[in-house]
Amino acid sequence: MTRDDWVRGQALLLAFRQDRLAIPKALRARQWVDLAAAREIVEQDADPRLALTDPALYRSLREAITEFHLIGWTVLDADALRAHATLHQAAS
Amino acid sequence: MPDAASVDSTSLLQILERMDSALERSGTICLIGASAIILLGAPTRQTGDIDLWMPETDLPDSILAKATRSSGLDWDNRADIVERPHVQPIRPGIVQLPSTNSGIWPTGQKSHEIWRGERLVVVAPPPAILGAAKMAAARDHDLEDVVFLVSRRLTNLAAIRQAATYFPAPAGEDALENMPLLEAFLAARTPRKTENLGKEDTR
Repeated sequence: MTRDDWVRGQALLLAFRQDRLAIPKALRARQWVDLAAAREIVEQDADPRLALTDPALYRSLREAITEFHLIGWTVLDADALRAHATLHQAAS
Repeated sequence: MPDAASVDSTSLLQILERMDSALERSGTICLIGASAIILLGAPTRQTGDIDLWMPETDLPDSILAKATRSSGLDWDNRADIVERPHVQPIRPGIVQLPSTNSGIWPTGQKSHEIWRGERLVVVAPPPAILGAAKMAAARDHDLEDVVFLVSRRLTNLAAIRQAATYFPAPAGEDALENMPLLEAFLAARTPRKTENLGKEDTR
């Protein structure tokens, strides 16, 4: 995952923490890259080093990741999202 | 904690307990929508309306309305802004579900029990039917509810697509049209045995 993708995925997760419908909204808005990156961040979990360098961000990400799991958004297939993102980028 | 106009899993169970105590006689209600999803285990889902699918509910409106009001909820509140949760009787119209035949849904399953009190039994349509109804509307909350059903392996997208074919028009067509919103991005999953809950035993 590129740094840019990571930032986009993180932004989506933080939006999701504020608005639990941010994920379906992102699906409708075809934000494939953001969704794939968010899914991968959830898979990897928040980097524990963040707890030392940016505790507030670490806490927010962990809360978002917990909610992501509880709702069931882990059924999102990161590879399929990534493939759509690639196709979309190639077409535009 | 839900706001005053919403219920979560904890408050929904308390409401059902109160309705159970207030009922004048035994009977079954069929929940659809978010309240059914909550009772199926969605841990953080909330809703303001407890929707009853009347064709599969065997208590008359008068008894249900009385028990509902005794439980501190509104009955059949169609106001745009509600101040507290309400129980909403739903009949075929804007909301459409397939018909059952002697209690059997077209998927070959019975409604399954999701709560039982002393007098009140709460059932819900099979998860695939619930999912197809959600996909017919396909609002953001509906997509989230379908993801919940699939993630818990209560059903899968193939079963939901099949269930949508049993819905009357235009709900069935709407559901099928909306399926690609999720189909391309959800990992294929096989439902657990719970998908067979209520399935007619043909042995």
